Order: sequence, then structure tokens, then C-alpha cells
Amino acid sequence: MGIVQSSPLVWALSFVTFGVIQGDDTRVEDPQQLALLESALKADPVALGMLYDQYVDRIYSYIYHRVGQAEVAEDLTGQVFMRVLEAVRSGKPWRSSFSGWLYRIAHNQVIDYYRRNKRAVFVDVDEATPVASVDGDLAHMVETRLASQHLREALTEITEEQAQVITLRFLDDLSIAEVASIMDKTEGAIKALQYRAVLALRRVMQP
Amino acid sequence: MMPSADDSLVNVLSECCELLMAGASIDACLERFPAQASALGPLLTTFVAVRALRPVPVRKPNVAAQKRAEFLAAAQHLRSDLVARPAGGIVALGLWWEQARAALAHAMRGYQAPRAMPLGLALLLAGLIIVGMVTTAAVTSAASALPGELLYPVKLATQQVQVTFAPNSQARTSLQQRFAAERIADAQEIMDLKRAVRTIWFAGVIEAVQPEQWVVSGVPVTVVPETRITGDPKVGAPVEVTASAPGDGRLVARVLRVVGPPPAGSVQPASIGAPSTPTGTATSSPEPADTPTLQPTATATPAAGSTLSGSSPLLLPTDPLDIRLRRTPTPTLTLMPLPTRAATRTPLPTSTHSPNKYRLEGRVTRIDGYLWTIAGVTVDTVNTLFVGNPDLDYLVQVTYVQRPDGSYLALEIVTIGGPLATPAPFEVTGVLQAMSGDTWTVEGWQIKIRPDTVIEGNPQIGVYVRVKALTQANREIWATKITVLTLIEYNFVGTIQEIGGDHWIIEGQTVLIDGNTQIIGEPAVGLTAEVVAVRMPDGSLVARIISVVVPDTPVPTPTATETLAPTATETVPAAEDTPTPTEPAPLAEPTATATEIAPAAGMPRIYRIGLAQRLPVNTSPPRSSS
Repeated sequence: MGIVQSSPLVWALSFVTFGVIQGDDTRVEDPQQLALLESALKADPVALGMLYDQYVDRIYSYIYHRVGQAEVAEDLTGQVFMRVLEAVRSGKPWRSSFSGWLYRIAHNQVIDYYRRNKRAVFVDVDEATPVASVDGDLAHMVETRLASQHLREALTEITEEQAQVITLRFLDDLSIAEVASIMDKTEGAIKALQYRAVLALRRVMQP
Repeated sequence: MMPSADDSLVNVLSECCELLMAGASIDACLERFPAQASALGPLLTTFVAVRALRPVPVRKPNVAAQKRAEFLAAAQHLRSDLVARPAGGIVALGLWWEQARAALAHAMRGYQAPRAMPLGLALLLAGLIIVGMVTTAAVTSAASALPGELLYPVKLATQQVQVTFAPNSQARTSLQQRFAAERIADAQEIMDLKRAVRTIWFAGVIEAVQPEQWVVSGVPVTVVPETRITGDPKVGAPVEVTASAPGDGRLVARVLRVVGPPPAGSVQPASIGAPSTPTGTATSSPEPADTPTLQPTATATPAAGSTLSGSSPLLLPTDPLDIRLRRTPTPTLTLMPLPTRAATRTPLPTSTHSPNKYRLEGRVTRIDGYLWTIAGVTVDTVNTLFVGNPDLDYLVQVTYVQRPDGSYLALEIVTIGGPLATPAPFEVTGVLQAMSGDTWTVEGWQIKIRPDTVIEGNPQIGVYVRVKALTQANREIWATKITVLTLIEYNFVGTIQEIGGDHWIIEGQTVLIDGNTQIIGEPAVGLTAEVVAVRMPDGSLVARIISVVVPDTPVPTPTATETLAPTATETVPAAEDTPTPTEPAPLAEPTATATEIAPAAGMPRIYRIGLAQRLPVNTSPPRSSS
């Protein structure tokens, strides 16, 4: 396979020749993208800036969907990209797909954010809004009674992996293949996880 | 093996999600899979509800721009760091290797007979290549250096050389304009980075004059009572700014030297407030002593005149280094007189157009505002280029000139030795309590952050850090290395065996209770509690959350996490550098029974604690609290 071996720096790129995600469900070997990644590995500020421009909105979107606050999302997004620089500096850059690696940093930032803030907001289940009745029109109930905040709260009550797959698949429009790359799982595992996630979410949303 | 019903639904749901994302309706999906319609319908409805959350608020353009600028500045800094520190990692190694390879390839191009070259010549060639590489690396690195960094003077000198050797006046003017713009960008970047820098110099055009702030070519400059203002500050007038950056994102002006009137026909905005009454100490006319001798205005500089006559708003660089390079026809150090202390006290004949420069080595014995006393000679550092961040007691080399009034003005102060006393090692580990400019507080100790301080991790207020430092003669503690400590988190469930002030014993483990510990429920000896704790650097366990498990509350499926063992959460902080997905295999997914717990009469209210539920450990039982 076409492993780039133009310098000792690009050994990591041997892992990148597969799975360069282009923002949709395309997994291709894009020479330009590989060159960009190679330059970024060498701490080329222009290449790093281009990668930033490529991914910043997507990472912001992912983080916003997880934390629900624009200001926090901005801060965490900034930290994600600073992590990229730190990784390049320390010689521990991405070894598989860059975007997958980037989303994992974002994911860890979200986890870290919640840990630091210890989920200071306690949700009293007595006050939780019932989402739907068993015999009611669920679609109508969901659309009319669930504000986004409540649904977000529901997302916090399923497992971390389930919330991640819901966010990546349904909110950030990533394909099964992309989510599989980010979460380092097979596509089959992601489908199964997706199924369990929807099931769990629905269960949480029921009274 | 036949696929289970769930297996079938997994694939059907996945397919339907794709269809819905492509614009199909729920009904269309259900019609396509009639056999699974009853199970599929609610799931698809949930899917649609989640999809309604997709819109993301538009990022504020100013915030987005600022974040982008911060990243780009950090990327630039990273590049210069890696080149400046070739031992810093594989990337730097690679950069050097590539330069070496390129240099060798170039040198060996067309070379056919290796055995014909004498060994001495080969060694000489190799030596030249290495010297060239080092120089190239330094200059390359300096290109992105910022004020206050070691290589910034190299950058200025390199730019001056470029100007000097420009092929024609047009190219020279273009370069001067470009470099003047870079100075402004440098100043802006220092502000963006909130970096503390002693001296920043740039020239620009006054865009606004307010009592406490001027705007010079887009850069806000804070004016304080100590600011010296010379000339007539009017919007549109060219001005030279000498400022310091305290590290809080501001530039505080030390000297604002208005070097000319606004261009004829320039518009004076009516909104500009009180241009004639700035807070700083204004003088109505330029200082006669300075203008013709030490700090020439643009009009006094032949190279600058052509630019000022044009329409460019940028003033040409006339910083101290610039002055030095232009005024020393042959920049050979031996041409400069090296006065003794006695010699420097003797009035020196000076020319108003070409003042003699002197150089002196000695220790800094006194710093009084802008006046530094070095080996008994007091020099004004109002417009001085500092190299190596000299300070009190440092051994420095000062290059200075004498003003017509007999006082001395330092052009450059270069550190050539540290303070007198031998620095003593100092270490402290604890909470980072404050970060104020270049002074951080760790466990009550004031720690000075130096340009060469190595910072590992992402220090923020509240994190644990280990500081390695050297105490200085002036009692300052200068950090050499600050490492953010990753605290490993533990979760376990056990019986409360002892409650004693801030030391509890739970399941045989002593856990410390501090002000941040959240205690949920009514703890008592004998009750079971779920503990989220972190291991401190000294080995102690500090509880973050102690949640009392009410005996009547059904606890679904106790897990292996009851033993004190690091859970998957401990990998999260470490994974940020090279993230690997955490694999919370033993996750107990929320079950219907877990969410159906309702507070019965007399039972404590039930709370869900997000943190514990987010962590891939024993997530099921809701905690109780009275």
C-alpha cells in the first residue's frame, strides 16, 4: 500500500493511508489530505491551520450537542485543537484516522468537562417531565412536550457510548463507518450499539 | 445459528435511519418492513425526536475569529519551539533530518568521485553544512519569534538584512512596510496570547485617542499616568509605541512618541474623545534631546522617508536594533569602544547625528522604573531591547549611548549571566490556586513563570501540579518545570466502618473528606456507600462523592467495581494526549427498573447524579439523599 516514507516523521502516516474521513461517509486515500496531515505532523502552521478550518465546526457541533452550551462548547473546542498541538509537540500524534482521533479528543474533553464540573446540576426525578404515555401519540408527545433540554437530559441518562453514538450518528450526521472509526469499533458493533442506544433512550423517555 | 429478533431489528433500524436521514418518512419505513413495524415505530419516533436537536447555534464570529487566532498563534509558537529545541521530539528530529538531507543532497549534487576528495576537505564541507544548518534553523525559527523570545532579535536583524540587501528602493519600501506590519501583528499576538513581555515596540498610526486608551493601527494601547507622551497626539498621526505586556492581554504604553502630524486632509473623527488630555504625561513638543540623536523619527531616517511620503499608514521600523544597524557602518563589535566604569562617567563627545555607542559589562545593581544601574552606570531603559530577560543581580552587557543632556540611554541589555547567589532547588506539589500573568500561586507559593519554564499538561486553576523551581537571590521562585498531575479516579462500594472528621474508613480504605466532597444521603457506620475518589500524589484517597446506598433501594446487579481498582475512567485523562477510546465493557446500562424507582412515602428523594452515571462504572442505582 502507498505508505508515505519521505521522512522519519511520517511513520505514523502508514496508519493513515486507510480511513481518511472526508466529512461524509467516504473513506478514501486522498493524496492531498495525506500531504496536509504529513505537513501538520511536522508542525507546519499552515497545514495545522487548514486542518483547524476543516474540522473546527464539526468538533464544535459535536461538543455543543454533548454539553448544550455554546460558550462551553467554544472553550472545549479550543482545548481540543490545543491538544492537537500538544500531541504534535510531544511526538504522540494520531496513528489512525485523524478525524477519528480528533473526535476522540473531543469526547475525552466532554468527559473531562463533566468530571470537573461533577454534574453539579442534580435532576430530581420527581420533577422530570413525563415524556409520553403508553397509549398516547408518541410522536406528537415527543415533538410538543420534549424541549431540547429535556432530551439532552435523557441523553445523559444512557451510557456514555450510547450517548456518543447517538450524537455522532443522529446529531452530527456521521455515517456508520465514520462512527466506527471514531469509536474504534466495527460497523456491526456500531449498528448494534445504535440499536441499544435508541432503545435505551426511548426507555428513559418513558415515564 | 438463526439471527435473533434483535439482530434483525438492529439491521432494519440502521437501514431505516439511513432512509430517514435521506428524507424518507416514518410511514414509508414502516411500510417497507411491515413485519417489524410494531417494534420499529417507537424507535423511529425516538430517532426523529433526537434529530430535532440537530441545529447548532451559529458561532459568534468574533469568538470564532479569536479562537482561530489563538490556535494559529499557538501553532506558530509550536513550530518555532520545535525548531529551537531539536531534542524536543521526533518532529524536531525530523525537521533537522530533512534539513540535513536536503543540504547533503544539494551538496552532493553532481559529485561523482567520492574517493577523490581529501578527508580534510570532506570534514570542512561537513562542518560548513552543519554550521549552515544551525544558522538556517535559527533564522527559520526566529521568523516566527515574538517579542520577549530569545530569537526575536534574530528576527529583527534578519529583516534588517533583507531591507539592506533589497534589490531596489521599491522592494526595500515594500519590505519595510511588511515588517512594520509584522511588528503590529507581533504586538497583537502577544496580547492575544496574554503573554508577559517587558518591551514591545511598534509603530503605527493613531486611530483613536482616549484618556485611558489609544488605538494605534488597530492595536489598543493602555495609557497610564506613567506613560510618557511626546508630540501632539492626533488621529492620523504616526506614532511609535514602546509598551510592556503585563500578561493580561493588554499593552501598557511606556512611551508614546508622536513623530509627525497627521497627513494633510486626514479626517478627524468627531467621536474621538479628549485627544489633548490623555492620562499620561504629555508634552506639547517632542523632546529635543531625543529626537535628533537616539530615537530618530521617521523623517530623520532616509530609508523611511519614502514610505512616509506615500499613503501607507504604517510607519517604518526604527527600533533600537534598527538604529544600531543603520548607524554602525561596519557592525563589527571591536569597533565599539568598551569603556571602563570611569570612562563612562566622563562626558563623552557626541555627534547629534551619530552618537557614540558604548558597551559595558556588569551586574544589575538597581532597577528603579526605567532606570537601571549596571556596574555603577545608570541607564534609561525606556526604549531598550532586552535579551535573555535580565533582572536584578544579573550579569549583563549593556550597549548604550549618551544623550545631549549627559544621561545614558540603553539600546540593548543582554543577559550574559544569572544572579549572584546560587539558585537553590525548590519543589512543591499542590493545587494551582491562581494564575496572574507570569506569577502563579501553588499551595500559597508565588511561582514565577519564566520563558524557559517547561510546562507539561494543561494547567488551569484548581488542578494539581508539581513545580520544580529554583529560588533566586531576590527570593523569587523561578519555575523550571511545571507538570500537571493526572489524578486517577477510583470507584468502589463498601461498608462505612468509621466516620471521623475528615477521615472516613469505607471498606477498609481511608478516604479523606474535603470541602469539595459531595455527601449524598445520611451516612452512618454500617451503611453501604458508593465512593468516587481520586488518588492524590501522596497516595491518599480524597473522596469526590460519597453516596449512601439506602438498604431498601433495589440495587441491580452488583459488579466487579466493588473492589478498589482503577476503573476505565482513569484512562480518560491520559488518553487525551493519544486518545484511545475507553472501553467500558462492564457498563451496566440503565434498566427500566433503575429508572422506575419512585420515592415511596417516607423514603428519601431520589436524585440522579450525572457524573457517576456518565462514568463507566456501576451506574445503575440511583442515589438516595435526605
